[in-house]
Amino acid sequence: MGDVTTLEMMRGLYEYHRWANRRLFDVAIGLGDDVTARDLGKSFSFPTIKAMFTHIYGADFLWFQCWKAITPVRRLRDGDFPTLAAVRAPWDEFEKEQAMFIDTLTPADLGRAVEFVSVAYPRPDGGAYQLPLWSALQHVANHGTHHRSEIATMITMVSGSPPGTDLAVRYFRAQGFPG
Amino acid sequence: MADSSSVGLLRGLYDYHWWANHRLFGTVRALGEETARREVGKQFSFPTLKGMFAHLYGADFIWLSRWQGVPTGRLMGDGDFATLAELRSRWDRLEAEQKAFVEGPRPCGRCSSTSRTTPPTTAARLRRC
Repeated sequence: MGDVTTLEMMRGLYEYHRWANRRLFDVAIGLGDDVTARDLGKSFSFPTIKAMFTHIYGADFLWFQCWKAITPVRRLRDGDFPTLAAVRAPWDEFEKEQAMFIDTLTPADLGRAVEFVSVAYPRPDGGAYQLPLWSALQHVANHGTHHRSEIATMITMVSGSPPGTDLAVRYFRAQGFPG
Repeated sequence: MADSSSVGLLRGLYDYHWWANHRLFGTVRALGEETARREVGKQFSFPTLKGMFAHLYGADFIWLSRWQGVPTGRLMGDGDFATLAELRSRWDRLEAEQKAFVEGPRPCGRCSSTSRTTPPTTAARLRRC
């Protein structure tokens, strides 16, 4: 393999992001609506499996608008979705748009400044944070990993340990690992 | 902030990795050794804070060996560290070695790609040729 470009790394990272989200989502959907809407405690950043998934989707959706400098931004909330199953169709559509954005980036796009007003981590002067696009792209994928870890813990509590979503598991599966 | 080259991206990722690990480790150290050894439930991949940190250390350690192409031992874990303090001390040394690999100059016995002005490919950098 020759030199790996930043764009190739980003595309690979987002292929992984979508795969890992889907892998856990498919397990969760099999648990049924009652289980995925069950309050599993305040130790999690969102108390239900459904809310954790809608947060991942919602954050991806919010950041996507920032990547594209769309204002004002629209925010998704858990209450927008009556069931976990209801999340799938709009998330599928969004994933296509997100993938199209990532796949059509050029090297010149990566340094472009992205503005983001954070509710969770507000800037002291009340303004918007600025990040280069490449950094904002990394953030969103990393953010998903954080919450997938919580989802895996929640699924373990209500059912059993779900299949692995480590980045290496994805690579190993491409070489024959069955798990 | 790191640059947007692929190597810059990896260096930035590892800067973040060390920062995030230290941030949480500092919080846990303040909770005390006893709390860090307390079982907090089987729903977690490792049931104690110390065990979870030890797993991060062990995974980083074994993967660094793989990156360097040196033989790997067993995966280290909780039982390899009597205390959080001991883990910290060994983790600091591992981080320094990891940092040298990710960030350092890349002396190479098989090629002359040691200069930042004539960088080798990303793959070669990561293999150290």
